[in-house]
Amino acid sequence: MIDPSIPPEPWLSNDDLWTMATAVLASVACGLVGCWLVLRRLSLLGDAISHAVLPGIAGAFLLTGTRDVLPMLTGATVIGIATAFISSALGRFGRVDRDAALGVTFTSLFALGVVMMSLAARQVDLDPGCVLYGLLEFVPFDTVDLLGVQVPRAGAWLGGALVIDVILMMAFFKELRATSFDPAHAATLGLRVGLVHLGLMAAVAANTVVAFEAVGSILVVAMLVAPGATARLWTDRLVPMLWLASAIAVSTAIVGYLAALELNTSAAGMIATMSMVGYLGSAGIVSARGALRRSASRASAVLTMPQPRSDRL
Amino acid sequence: MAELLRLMSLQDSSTRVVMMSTAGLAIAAALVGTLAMLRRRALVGDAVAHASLPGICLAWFVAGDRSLAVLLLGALVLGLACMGTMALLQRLARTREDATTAIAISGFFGLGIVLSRMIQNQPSGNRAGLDGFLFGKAASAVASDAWLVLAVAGIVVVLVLGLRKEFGLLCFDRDFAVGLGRPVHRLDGLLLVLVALVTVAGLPSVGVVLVVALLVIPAAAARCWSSSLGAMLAISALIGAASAIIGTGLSAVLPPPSGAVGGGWPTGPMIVLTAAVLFVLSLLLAPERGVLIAMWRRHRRRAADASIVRSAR
Amino acid sequence: MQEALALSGVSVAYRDELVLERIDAHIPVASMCAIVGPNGAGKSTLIKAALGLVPLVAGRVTVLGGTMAQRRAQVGYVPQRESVDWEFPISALDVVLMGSYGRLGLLGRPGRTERTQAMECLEQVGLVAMADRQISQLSGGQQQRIFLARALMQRAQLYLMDEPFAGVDAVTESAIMQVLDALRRRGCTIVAVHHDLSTVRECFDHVLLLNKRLIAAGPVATAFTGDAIHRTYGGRLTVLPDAAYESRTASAGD
Repeated sequence: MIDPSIPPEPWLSNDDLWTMATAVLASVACGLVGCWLVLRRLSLLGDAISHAVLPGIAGAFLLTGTRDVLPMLTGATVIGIATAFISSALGRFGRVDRDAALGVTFTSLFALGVVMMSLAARQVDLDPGCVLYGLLEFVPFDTVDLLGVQVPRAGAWLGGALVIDVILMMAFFKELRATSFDPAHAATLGLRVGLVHLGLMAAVAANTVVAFEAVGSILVVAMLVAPGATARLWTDRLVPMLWLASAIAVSTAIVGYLAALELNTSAAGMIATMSMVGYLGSAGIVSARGALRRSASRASAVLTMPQPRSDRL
Repeated sequence: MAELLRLMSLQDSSTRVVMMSTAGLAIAAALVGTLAMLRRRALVGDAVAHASLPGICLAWFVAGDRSLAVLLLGALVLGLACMGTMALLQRLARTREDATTAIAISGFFGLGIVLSRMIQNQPSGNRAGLDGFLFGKAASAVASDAWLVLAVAGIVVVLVLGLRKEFGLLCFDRDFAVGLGRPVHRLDGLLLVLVALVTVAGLPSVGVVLVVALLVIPAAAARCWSSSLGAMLAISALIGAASAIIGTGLSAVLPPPSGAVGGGWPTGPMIVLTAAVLFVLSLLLAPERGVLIAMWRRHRRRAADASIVRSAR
Repeated sequence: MQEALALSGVSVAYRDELVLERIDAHIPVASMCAIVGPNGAGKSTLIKAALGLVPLVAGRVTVLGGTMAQRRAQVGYVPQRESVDWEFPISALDVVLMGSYGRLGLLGRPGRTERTQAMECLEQVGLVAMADRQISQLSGGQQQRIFLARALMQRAQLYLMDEPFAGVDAVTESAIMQVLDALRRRGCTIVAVHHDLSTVRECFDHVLLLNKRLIAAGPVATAFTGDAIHRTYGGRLTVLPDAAYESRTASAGD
């Protein structure tokens, strides 16, 4: 157990580095997948899925009685995809707008998950509170042997998830781009729009679950949405946006982790806070820059105009 | 069994007050939620709820007094600040509403976790009171707190019912309301303040994560039954009150599962699950727009179409 | 004469309401056909139904002698400009390259050949200079022409266009018209939703008058008559008292 009252001996111990690496992996994996959520204006669906996977995790736990990742991953991915379908079906049949349909779906599923967990509370190691904000600090205590090196189990899973994300994204880049930009046209080209959507939802759910043990279900939303949304503020190009989002994800995770270490507080919470700060700061700078540029061009237009027109708007 | 009788007959005055306050709050939330949903702001309450967590922590730090009123005041202040930030970002270039909402939800919650961990680390820190806000614990609320919540709910209900016509105009035809010279911006602002008020007042009983369900689920259920504002308000209030009473009752009466340490059935999630069940029933059974009715109509039309085609040949 | 597009008994419903009722239409190869009708007549729905983007309640669509699934590679689609998110981070050239995605197969990606072809398509619509621009920086008419270039990139036989002239100025309109004329001379068929009744005669050779049902269809000379237009728009083009409108639609309906 880490006693929070004793500061770490060297500035960064080996455990700290492993924890930070895990946070970085979680941040990049989620951030890359999240870019597509941002582009498709589905950020809130990411939020909903990350809440709604709870009953999937609790169900897998109740059925198997273990905290093995694979059953939880399966359960959560199924529920995650179900969330996407249920909320879009509610929008169609219940005739409520998309946000309301999402709100109904994820609160109901989350409530179900909490109740299931409190039924399972005799196995004390599944705590609803930790589900919300994760236990990044405990990552180094659960290691697996990987090529002779003891690496954190969560980190190994996240590294695997990141590799799979990148491979899938490169293989289906064309499909992702076309179906995100103009789904109807993509369908007439014979691209499988529904299948791409399904795959993306599955990827969001799977990444959420893998990251979730470390950072919790609400903070994972920041990792999903903030890098993509922040990068989008700075660039108009898709590929640079993906690179920039990765860079933002890495730096947010590192800065957040170090700040948490300094203040002796929750690292996952700090990373989410930093994500928001980065987004707000970027929005402020970009819009200030835009306003400056507009006023500069207005000024030059006035200067180059031979006679200022009185009816200028 | 004796416990059940005592509860159901509302003989115990403190149970009575707690139930009344939860039901009153649910009615207020359902009314405001209906307006917010029609105004397409269904999930604003979720952002406010998550922003209230750091608000509670800050109030804890700043005020020596740790009464519920002070904590909720802090929550309200940060909730409104969160709304203000989101409104500001809307006006800045290129930020997207869904991404902004998701980042606000997650970022503010992260900040709340950071602050609450710092409180826990203080020598005098006792986070037990704060943990209650995550999932809510209506059953253990004291009567004076219940009266506070009831008072807030009462004010909100009076305002909504008093300004029903104005809000209706705002939700259904904003431009027309502008044309009539109604103070649309002030009404919009008032609606957001009401959302913040009921959200914050709902924290003690339902908790940060699920309080938005009180706003969204009864409203979405009422949408299945009617399209007229008056009827929707009445139905959603009814569904909200029923969910609160049945959910609170169930969580108090159901025997805790064997060996559970978490105190058995959590109140907030039980209220939300009850609302979800009522929503599903509404979706299926509503006379005009219910799923069952629609399926029957479609079946009949298919049959009619088939007979037309047959007679044409 | 071979048919580029044949609809037989096509009905489409949104929710519980029929928006297209038993449409029968036959559009010959190498024709240029306008779909004309008032708002809510189901013009866009007809295009989407032909493409298989909305499910049919009844009826059949035949494209170039086969089903839509078989002929997918030979059909180009120009959607309405409002149908996509123009803030999407993508350059004009990349949008045009999407036209090649269908023939590239599952794991293929556009290479040098496709880039050259895309630049040629941009040249045809006069937007080579805009190739690297982000699409939100283009004007409405330029965005419309980018969509046209993307359809050209598909090298299709049949082009289905949803309001290709919406919101473009006269210069752009004539530029688009020239491209369409060149396509038709190569033997391609063009079916376009069109709003401007005054230009139907000069720009199109076939017409399909639609108001939930098919009112008239055929060569412009025979089908595009004053009476047919009147029945399509239900007298709304001229100022008529309600009673006259009612009796007119009643007699037109039966």
